Amino acid sequence: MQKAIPPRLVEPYLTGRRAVIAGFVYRVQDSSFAGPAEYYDALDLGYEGSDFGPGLTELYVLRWNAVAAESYQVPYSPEMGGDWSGKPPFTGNGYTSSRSHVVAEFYLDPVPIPVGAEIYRISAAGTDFIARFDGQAWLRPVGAG
Amino acid sequence: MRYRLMATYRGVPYEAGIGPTDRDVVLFAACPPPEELGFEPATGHWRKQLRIQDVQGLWESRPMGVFRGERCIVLDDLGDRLHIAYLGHDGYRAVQLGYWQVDRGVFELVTPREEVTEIVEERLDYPHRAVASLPPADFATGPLPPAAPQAAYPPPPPAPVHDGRVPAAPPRDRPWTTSPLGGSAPGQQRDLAVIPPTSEPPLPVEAAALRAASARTLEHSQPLPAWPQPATDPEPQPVPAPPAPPDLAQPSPRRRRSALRRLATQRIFSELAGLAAIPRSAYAVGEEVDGAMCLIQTADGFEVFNAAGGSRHEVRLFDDEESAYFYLFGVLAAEAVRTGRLAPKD
Repeated sequence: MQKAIPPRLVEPYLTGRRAVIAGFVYRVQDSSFAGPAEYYDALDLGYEGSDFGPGLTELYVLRWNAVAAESYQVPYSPEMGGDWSGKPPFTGNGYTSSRSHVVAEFYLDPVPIPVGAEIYRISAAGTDFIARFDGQAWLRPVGAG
Repeated sequence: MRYRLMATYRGVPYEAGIGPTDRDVVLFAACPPPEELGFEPATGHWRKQLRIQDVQGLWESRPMGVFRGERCIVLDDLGDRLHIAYLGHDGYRAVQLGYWQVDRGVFELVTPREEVTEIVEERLDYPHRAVASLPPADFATGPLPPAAPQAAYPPPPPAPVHDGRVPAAPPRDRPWTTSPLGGSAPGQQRDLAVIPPTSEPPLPVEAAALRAASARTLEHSQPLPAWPQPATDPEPQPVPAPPAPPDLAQPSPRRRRSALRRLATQRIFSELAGLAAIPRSAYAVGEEVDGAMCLIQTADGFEVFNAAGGSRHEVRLFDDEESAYFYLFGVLAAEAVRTGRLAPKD
């Protein structure tokens, strides 16, 4: 699974001050794109109050192995048999609103970050490994800046 | 008081984490457990990785409360403030209640402690235990989509229309497979080092949420429930001893000196704990408070232990009180460093 980390939350995650994953999450197989702009479009990152910008040049994503699969709910609107509601770009049909990419979305109530979760930085130059969660702290590659 | 996963191993509860696979559990201890348990030292803690079947219990410790009439989860205890999260699925309602959207569909708030009432710790068996036959999952495959509420087999949602064409629905019901990510598969061995906490005192999200909370004028499209009365401070306050009559029960000078010294030690500890951003709820002196590191005097000396689940864990006994306080402060400070509350100033 993966989710894009809002820029203002990257530092709290990496310093261990944010210890949960919550909200809209996606399977990596559905949501791996060429660069930040595609992520922005495909994952509805332009929501109200977002600090992602359409011209973002880099993006941090959190990736983890899904455990407790029943925790991952499809955020259907009442019209679709669920009870989720929210402002657009929320669609309520289980998919993001992108017209360029078809991405199934799941919703996760807060859960502790699983051991082994990883953070990557995605930019036009590629995908860089940033850190791995050991259950208590995020570990960076030795020698990384 | 913090939302966390717990596991019982050989009768003792430990904070735990699941991973790197859904069959692995890692136990964490702030104090060194007995050597024969085989915990390994790590930065700021001790840890032991086990197969999930080797632990006797696995549960979520979820501090739950009520904020403005609706249930919330307490993500963290910041002392006089609580970091809470909205648990409903109605984004409009969350905003109406005063929550701040910290991430898409994630509504949280840092609020004065007295605004959150009916705080209780819910213990839920970790869901993973109920699905022992889960097929393997990884970063790429994720979970199978669950059935939508009110329908055993919900119709597949209509896929977005692209230029008049309906694309094939994504494979939401495909069988579980494992397909590691190219170049970014989990579990690759790397030499890693701990990321140090920064010296920025407030959490960015916390500061922003506080700003949002203070500045927000609630727009009520419908009347909100009556504001709950502020809760009384859940932390027990020391009860002052009744003053002794002037000519009776006067302590000897030696006992008085001891009491004064004890008060001074406790005061210094409290001041240091405050300076180290250690929440008052993280420790208890002179009493046993579940969920806190406690220091109490016994017939044998001074005990410092972690009170959890009605039991004392990681008990350490000290002959003198100052050593006990020093040890207690060290454990709490280590936790504060780990969580980033305590960081060196540049």
